[in-house]
Amino acid sequence: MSTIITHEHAHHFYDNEQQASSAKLGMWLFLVTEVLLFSGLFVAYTVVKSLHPEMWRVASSQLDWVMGSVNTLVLITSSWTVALAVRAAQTNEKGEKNSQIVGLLAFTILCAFGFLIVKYFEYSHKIHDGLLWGKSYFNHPEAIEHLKEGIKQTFSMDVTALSSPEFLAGLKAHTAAGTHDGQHLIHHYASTVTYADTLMTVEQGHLFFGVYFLLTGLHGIHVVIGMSVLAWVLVLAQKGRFYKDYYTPVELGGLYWHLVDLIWIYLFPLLYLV
Amino acid sequence: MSQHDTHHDDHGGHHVTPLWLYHLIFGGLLCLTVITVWIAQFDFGPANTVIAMFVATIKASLVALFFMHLLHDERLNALTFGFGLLFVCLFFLFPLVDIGTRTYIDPIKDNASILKQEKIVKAQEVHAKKHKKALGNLSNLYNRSFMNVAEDEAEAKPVPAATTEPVEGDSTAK
Repeated sequence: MSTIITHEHAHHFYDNEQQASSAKLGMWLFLVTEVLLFSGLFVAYTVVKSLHPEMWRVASSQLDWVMGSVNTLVLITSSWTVALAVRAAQTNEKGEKNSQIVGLLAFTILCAFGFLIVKYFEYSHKIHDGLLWGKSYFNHPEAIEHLKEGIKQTFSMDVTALSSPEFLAGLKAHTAAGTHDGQHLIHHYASTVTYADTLMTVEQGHLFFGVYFLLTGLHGIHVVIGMSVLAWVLVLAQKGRFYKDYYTPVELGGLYWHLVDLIWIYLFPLLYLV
Repeated sequence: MSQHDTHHDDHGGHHVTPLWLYHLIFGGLLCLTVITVWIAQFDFGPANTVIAMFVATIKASLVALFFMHLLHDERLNALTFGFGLLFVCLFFLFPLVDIGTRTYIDPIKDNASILKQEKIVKAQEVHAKKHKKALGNLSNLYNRSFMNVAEDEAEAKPVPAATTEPVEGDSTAK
């Protein structure tokens, strides 16, 4: 364990250092493409939220903020440990810190596992409640019930009126009128504003869960990839491959893991705390 | 490596962040997480999202500057990432301009709140009264060209667009 395998830089680099800094620049370019990939979904989030702010509030109240908070703490801790692993590799002179690198990486991977387990419980709860995307949402009547309950809690509104014949007649007229003569429609429904708003909220709930599953799903895939990369780095670290002059894989794997953390830092308040 | 700071040891010119700084940043991130969860319990309206994003940006900056070493790394890495963020801002800008201005064109496109729509329609009515004649002519033209053409043709009666009284309620811009 306490020995190292020295690294020979590739022939087209002057030395290890130049090779490392080139690799790191490449990694940062890749991270930029990752950020842009996620930003598409963040833009979708912004657009749908600003079109249906009431619905967004009600639907996001269906998420469990405790689970979200636990996952935030888990990811921040793992980000810290992976940063310490990089530091251990940076200061590894003759292999005396090999086991420290391995231990820190193992703990980071364990955190990633914990994150996925919490995510599993969250997803299975949402699937059970029918809080899903698109058509799946409408195929689960219990989802509508959950949203009604959410409206009740968020806006302290009585939603029993939702099942009244008056409301259903209004809904039919609303649909039949279309959106062509908007002014007429608005005057007609001025007295039933809460009904119309409630109707929209329940109808559009699937939009929130669509964005929720896409964002957390894409992030979850990144967690799995990050775990695999760190596991590979761990195996190399066990062989004593990383020391003060060569630790590029630890550093780049760490950068990837920090990005996963960065994305979650924004995802957590946006989805769980709005 | 362009880094030749005073706190350098002989580790090949790489900046090694002291351990206490890592622990401090970790503690800071934990505190900020608690703060953001705590603040979310109060209802400040739209300000909630702004506060949450502000705290998240502080957290993200701590991670990027210290854990990801952007602060002491080669400037080119920070520049690369900065340019990426610039393009993210551009990406956000155009959709936001779009959805932010839709209601001026057509209040019906705004699903946000019926009450809000009513306000906009009332504002448009006031506006329309000021420019009644022009809008009346416009709506006549609009009706003629899209709706009443078949009727007009059947009746074969010329409609003097300029003299027709504007119809109340038609003034809403479509």
